[in-house]
Amino acid sequence: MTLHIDRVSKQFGEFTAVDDLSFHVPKGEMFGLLGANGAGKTTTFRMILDILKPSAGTITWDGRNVDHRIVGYLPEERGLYPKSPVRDQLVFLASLKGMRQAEAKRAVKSWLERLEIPQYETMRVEQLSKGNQQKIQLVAALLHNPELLILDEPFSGLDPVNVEILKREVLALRDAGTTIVFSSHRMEHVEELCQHIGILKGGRAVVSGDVPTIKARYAEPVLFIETDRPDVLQSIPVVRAVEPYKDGHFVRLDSFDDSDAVLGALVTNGAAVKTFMRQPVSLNDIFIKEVGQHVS
Amino acid sequence: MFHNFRPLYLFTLRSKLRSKAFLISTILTILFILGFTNIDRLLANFEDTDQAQAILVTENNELTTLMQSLGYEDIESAAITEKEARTGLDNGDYEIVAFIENDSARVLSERPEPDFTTVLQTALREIRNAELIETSNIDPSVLAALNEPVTVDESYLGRGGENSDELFSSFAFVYVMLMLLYVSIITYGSMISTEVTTEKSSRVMELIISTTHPVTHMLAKISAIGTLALLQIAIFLGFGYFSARSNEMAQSVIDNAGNVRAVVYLLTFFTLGYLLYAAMFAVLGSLVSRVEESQQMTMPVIMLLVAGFLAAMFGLNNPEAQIVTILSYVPFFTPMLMFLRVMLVDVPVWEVALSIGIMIASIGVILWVGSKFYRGGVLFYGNNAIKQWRQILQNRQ
Repeated sequence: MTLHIDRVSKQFGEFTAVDDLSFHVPKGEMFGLLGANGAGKTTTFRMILDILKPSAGTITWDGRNVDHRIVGYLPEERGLYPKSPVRDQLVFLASLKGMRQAEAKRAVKSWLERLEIPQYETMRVEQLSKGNQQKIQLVAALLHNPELLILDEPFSGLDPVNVEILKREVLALRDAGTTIVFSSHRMEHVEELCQHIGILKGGRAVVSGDVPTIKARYAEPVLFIETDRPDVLQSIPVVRAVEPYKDGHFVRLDSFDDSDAVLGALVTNGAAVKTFMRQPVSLNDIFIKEVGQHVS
Repeated sequence: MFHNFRPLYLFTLRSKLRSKAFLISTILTILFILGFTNIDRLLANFEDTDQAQAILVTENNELTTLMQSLGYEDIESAAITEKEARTGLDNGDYEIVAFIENDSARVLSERPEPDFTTVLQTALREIRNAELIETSNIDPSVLAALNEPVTVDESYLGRGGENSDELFSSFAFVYVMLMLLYVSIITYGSMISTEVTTEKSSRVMELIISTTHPVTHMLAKISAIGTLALLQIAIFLGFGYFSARSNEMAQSVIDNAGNVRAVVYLLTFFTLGYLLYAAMFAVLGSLVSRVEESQQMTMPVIMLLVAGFLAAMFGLNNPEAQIVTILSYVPFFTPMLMFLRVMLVDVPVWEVALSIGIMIASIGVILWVGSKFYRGGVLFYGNNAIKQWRQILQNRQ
């Protein structure tokens, strides 16, 4: 029960949207696909869903072609029938996935309750706020208990409270064994939720793997120090660079082995040290480093 | 391939039936039909039946009585001068003054009064004729014989009908049905393209095509709107039938509706014509991103339909013209022109079968080509249609 994307490419005429992309997501894992706008995320999702055919390569689920019935899809461009009542169209969309009416109606009720919006069941979609429409859209993706869930920018347009509700439900689904692939611009969400990530740029995976390994690879020996004597920092021999940031400074070393020397020098000079910490590398930094620096 | 046909069909039909647009258009059309089939009675209500008050200046009292017996009641005779007459007309005491001198008359009035002058002419002629007959000693029976009309009894061997009454009723039936065919294909066809474009612009399409084959989706839409069309048309025809039963001219149209052959042909060409145009509308609807654009995109199809309708109007008067025969094999025109031909002239069965075969084949081709465009088209949100088509064909092998 693994999603395998194997050397997949997609050309639109002259333009290459996805280029030799490979990754796999084991059952019950959450995979984050990152990338700037136009990097090929949505095209990749559409190929998984068989809306688009890959120009080369194969996409398999459990060794076979992906059957649309086991997939739940939250498209980036939200789409529901504006004039149709919430329950009717959810039942309709579930029936397209082969779900029975009665079963679908029950599922609609329970999902609306879980997302704390049971009162919207009989309202028309156009009457709901954008955030609530998005929750309905999510229900449409989840209703038929998909084994594989594809979420394209699931958090965009939600307020912080709803982001938390959504995160809670997504994690619950993952723990229940659903395999989830999702894309986001919000690195903190990806960092929080995913074990594995892939960063796309121009259709290629520039970074991919599990999060701790990637972070270790990109970790740099940088300290964040807040002190009343920042002038001392420059004069310490092991310090390679000092860069002010907010109330403190980033201090670049050759290796964290030199940290003690820095602290020692500060103390010797009678400086009061308020903060002294290793600066962790964030996905955001990695993303900007990999995607941002090549932007011409 | 067709496993999602049912939910798509039911959902589309249900949302259409529940929409306000459906209710309103049904009610408005029923009102229109009631009005149209009773147009003569409606117009009669608005006709100005009041006769203008007239003064005859004449010595012949017989004339006044005669005119009254001919239906013009509001007449008095009086001896007034022209000057008095003009004053009286200005004051509105009366509306017409006629000065009679032997068998000629001079009429003064504010505006033309054709009712009055016609009656006056007839009356004057009758008085003169009576005098002439008397002075010339003509036998009144000879005169009666002269006025006797001759009869010409026509029999037609063509399809339309054996005599002019039947022919007229065939024409009227074909005309009304052609109108119905034309109007309903335009109405329901555009409804399909709008429907497809709406799904596309609201981006529901992405969810649907990830689960459903495009041909299934197209056929489900076409069938759902088709069902809606049949339902609505049945309601209209029902109302039309009962409303027209009391109307003589409309009556002749309904007489044909009882003809099994006519009904079978009508339903056949109706269904095929609808399917052909609906498929084109669906494909074109999938190529644009906004509903406003779908109007532009479907223009060529509507032009085809208009061309077919104009050809049919020509064919109504010349059903045996060679151009009508040729065009009746062109699938876009077959529904109207072949229907017209089978109703009005003798057409060999094989010709009808051939045209139906061509239509079915064309519908297949359009659905097949359409499915190529459809999946690509519904994902494409651009403006340049031609460029878009090229890309779509490249993307989908």
